[in-house]
Amino acid sequence: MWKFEGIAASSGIAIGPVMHIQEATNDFSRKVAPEEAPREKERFVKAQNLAVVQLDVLQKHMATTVGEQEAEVFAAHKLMVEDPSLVEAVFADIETNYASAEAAVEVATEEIANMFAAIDDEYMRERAADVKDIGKRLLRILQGQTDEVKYEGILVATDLLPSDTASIDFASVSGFITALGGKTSHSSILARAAGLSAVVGVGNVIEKLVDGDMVIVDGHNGQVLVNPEESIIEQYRQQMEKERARAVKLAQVGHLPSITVDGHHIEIASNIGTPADMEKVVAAGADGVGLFRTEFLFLDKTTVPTEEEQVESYRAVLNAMPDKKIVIRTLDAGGDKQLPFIGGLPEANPALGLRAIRLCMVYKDVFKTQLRALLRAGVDGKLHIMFPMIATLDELLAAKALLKEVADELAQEGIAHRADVPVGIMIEVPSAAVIADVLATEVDFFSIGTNDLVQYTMAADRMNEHVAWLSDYFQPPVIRLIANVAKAAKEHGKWVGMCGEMAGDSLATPLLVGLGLTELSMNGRSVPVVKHLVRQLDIKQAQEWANQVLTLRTTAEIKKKLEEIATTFEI
Amino acid sequence: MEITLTIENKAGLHARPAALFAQKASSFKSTIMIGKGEKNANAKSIISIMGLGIKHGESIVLKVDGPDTDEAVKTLQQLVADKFGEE
Repeated sequence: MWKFEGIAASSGIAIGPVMHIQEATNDFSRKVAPEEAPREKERFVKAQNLAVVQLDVLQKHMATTVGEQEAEVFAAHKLMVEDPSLVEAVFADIETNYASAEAAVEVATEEIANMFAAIDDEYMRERAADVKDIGKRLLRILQGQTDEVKYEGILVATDLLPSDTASIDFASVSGFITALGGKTSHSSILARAAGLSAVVGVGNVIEKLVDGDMVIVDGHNGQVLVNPEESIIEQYRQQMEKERARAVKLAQVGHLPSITVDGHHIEIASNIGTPADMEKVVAAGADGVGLFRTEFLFLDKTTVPTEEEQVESYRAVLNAMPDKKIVIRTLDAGGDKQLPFIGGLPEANPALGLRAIRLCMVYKDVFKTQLRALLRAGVDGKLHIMFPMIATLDELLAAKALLKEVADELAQEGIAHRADVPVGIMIEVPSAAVIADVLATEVDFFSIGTNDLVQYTMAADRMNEHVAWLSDYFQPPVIRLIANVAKAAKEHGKWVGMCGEMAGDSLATPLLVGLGLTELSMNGRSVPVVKHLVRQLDIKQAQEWANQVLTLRTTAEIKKKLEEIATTFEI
Repeated sequence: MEITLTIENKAGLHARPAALFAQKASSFKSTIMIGKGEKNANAKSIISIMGLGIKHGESIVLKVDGPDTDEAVKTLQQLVADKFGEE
């Protein structure tokens, strides 16, 4: 047995025989006799036509099996295959240099890919991969290879391009190993979507793998074991079995009530971005929506969405879970999420600038339209309104006054609405966490947004990898702020929840419940995991743990303690 | 004929808008070129258009020459004004 490592791109374990993806070779003659040039041009045109047919089939296949959007890439590929610039370059190379069709395609697509790669734009650099893929497809056709290989077991390739992955039947493939690629490359995303384990970026070690070699792909640790002994295979088989059993168990837990062993209800809610997400929320067994980000209605628009449009979207979410709490956050734009119809000046520090509630209070007519739509939609279901980025009491009072003004207007106009919708705020600015006791007198609830709270508390840009160690929600000051907010809410009889990333981290669950949070809102995938943990918790014990954690002085100490606590649960 | 247009849609002339532009341009007999700064591209080629890397807010010069010049200019101008149907 021998082993190698790469990037763990998609978790899970796969065991099976290796099969290399058929690669186009560059084993072709590069020159032809002058009198053969017309024939080479003809070969190219034929290959082009066949490529378009293949892409057409792939586009339709992908649209039905994976999704319309994923299929779009093949529509773009079709256009590129037929592109006059490509044809011109290929023809010129054949006519003047007597290049073979293969050589001409290789040179032309490489040149175009290089041109794209040189453009200072991430998106365009990715298109370079599309052009290379076109070249690869044309080369394969010119060399008489087809798409119709039946792949099985563990796929091995230099890189998996869209053209490779689309022709793979995922029922008979259980994992990928690629020499290139990272966590966000096409193959990794697809592996995760298809539930296959994948280790990518392993380098040229793949050349040592022979078709038929038995391998174990450990997508958790990014390890590949080649020709392991039977005892090791057995060990991994058992782990696979355990994982399968856990997945089955979690799927069941998802729909059980989220109650601690001593009978306290902790709401496990979901975060959503569009009404279409509600299907997944219901399927995951969430207790409602703890954060509906309404930005999707506004971004990518050149005009303000109408009141009617908004009412319809809010209603769609409320009606999907009529008996569950739905927290809708008002527009959180500005900063890195610019609205085209508002414009605005570039800011030196967008994260500290005119955004969220600050922006809304400047563009009051936009804000009022949203508030009107919310109160109208609130007639259905259990709507809660949440203001983002409140930093002072004045901001909260001004936003509430505007909400009241809107309710009065609706009453005057005789339009059906609900005036007494519960109102809460996001706690994401440290100032709000510090004066939580003051703010608590004016709200019905708090929801802690950990992503921004960490960024602002630690003064560390969460996208900046050089200060990544500071961007940790287990930093003691962050934990103290959360404790302060929970304490203030409790003293004023208000509930406090969390809708940041921390809420979905099961390591944090005992601490958060112990601090007094009664609602945790997360992505659908985390719902069963966190719920499973809540169902094993005892509040008294959790409170004790929380008090112990509050005495710890470093992130490392806190994590160590929480990891100890985690071992006492079945996860 | 030569006209200057400003690209208003958010994504600039990325894949989809570039494809639309190339498709529309291809439906005319005239020669159609797009210029950005020093660089020129065949407007009937999605690859050439994308190669210019035209971003939101940038200006392009459209040069049309041929039997259906007027109609081509009108159509392409409209496409840009409509922000490629993104809104």
